Amino acid sequence: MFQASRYCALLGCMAVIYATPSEAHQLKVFATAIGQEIDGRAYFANGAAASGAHIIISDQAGKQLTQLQPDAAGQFHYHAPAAMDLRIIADSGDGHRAEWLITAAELSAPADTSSPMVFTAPTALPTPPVMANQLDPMLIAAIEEAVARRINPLRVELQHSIERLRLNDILAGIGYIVGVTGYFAWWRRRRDTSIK
Amino acid sequence: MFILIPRPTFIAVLFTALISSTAAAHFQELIPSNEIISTPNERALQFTLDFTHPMARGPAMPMAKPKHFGVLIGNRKVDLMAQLTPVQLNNQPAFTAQYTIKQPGDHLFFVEPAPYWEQAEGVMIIHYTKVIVSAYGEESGWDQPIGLPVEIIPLTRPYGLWTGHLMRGVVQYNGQPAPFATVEVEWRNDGSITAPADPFITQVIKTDANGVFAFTMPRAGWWGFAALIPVEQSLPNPDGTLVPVELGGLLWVRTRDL
Repeated sequence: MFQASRYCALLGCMAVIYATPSEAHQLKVFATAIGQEIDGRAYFANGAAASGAHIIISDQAGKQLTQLQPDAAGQFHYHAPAAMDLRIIADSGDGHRAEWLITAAELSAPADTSSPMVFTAPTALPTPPVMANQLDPMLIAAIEEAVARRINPLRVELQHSIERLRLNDILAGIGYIVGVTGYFAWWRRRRDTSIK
Repeated sequence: MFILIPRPTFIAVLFTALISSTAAAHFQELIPSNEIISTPNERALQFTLDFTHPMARGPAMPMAKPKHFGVLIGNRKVDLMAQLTPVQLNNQPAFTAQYTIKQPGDHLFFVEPAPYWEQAEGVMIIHYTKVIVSAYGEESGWDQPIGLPVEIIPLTRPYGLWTGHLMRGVVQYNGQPAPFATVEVEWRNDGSITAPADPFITQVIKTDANGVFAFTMPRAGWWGFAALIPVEQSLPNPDGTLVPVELGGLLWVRTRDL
């Protein structure tokens, strides 16, 4: 009786141990669009990259447009042929699937200037109102999109350099203190020796 | 340089502090409209930031503009001060904020409020407060410290919690576990509960020798955990007199009925 219940408990324990990873490692996929450029990432619930998953991009009717292989970080890129609803499907081949929808509205909308990679500081310079009235809205949208795409890496780099600067400032400050102290010590010593 | 507190004032302050310690506790609130974002339709978050007595539903206290408000996503801190909008809540100054989730992963929102002068207790109160929003199923980062002076590091994943869930966490003061620290717990009352007696308003628990606390949340809604650390540090009150400081590390979690 005791033996049997212990055996059952052991079996239960093993079942839990084996069952946990499949539950815990839920496959997920996420994508954003800047203009018609789609960037995405396949990942597991614990944050690990799902680099081994296949990415299938299809239209709303289910017609497959392409199949991609994410990189080691689980990231992938796709240029949408037109502003249309797209289904982004990640498939790990073992029955796990995840899906994300990119809408036609997202693909045709001007670039989201509040990019995920940077501080939420004002980004775009205000366009002079007179100019804006004279220009084609399509052209303005295209310019905004192009500018946003070009400056995004700069904004990320700027943020990194700001963080680096903070360390530089501290080191420079310490150096400054050491320098001033040294100069003061030298000056005192020189004064002492000159008095003698 | 150092301003000495006159003895009668000190005694009065001490006395008031003793008297008022049994009343409802102050909690800095940082409450998002949702703690789990599963689809892009839910990604626009609205935050409420106010300083109040959550279980007693007030009275609220005036909240000055916070010193910091931001979010930690992975290892990247984003300043959200520009998102704060001053509002009146319960006839007191408070703030709201908007934030749109843009990527998967745990979002650790935090606020460092301006020090609040609590005249009745004779202390300046700073409640460093955080709340964690899960986005698109990538459950990574909820247990990382933001680096606040007093901070609760959850030992239970702080979202997807049922009513009756046991919440565990470790209280850290300057990055080190705080043994035998007081943690006050209040439920953010929606008006459906009237406490039968004062001790039901604020639950009081203490951390163990390793700074770990545990509390079972018996009702659905938002639960605030306030780890309180009295420190020797002094701050000038509005009159310029140096007074003691109560540092708090708050964590808000939401439970839902099973």
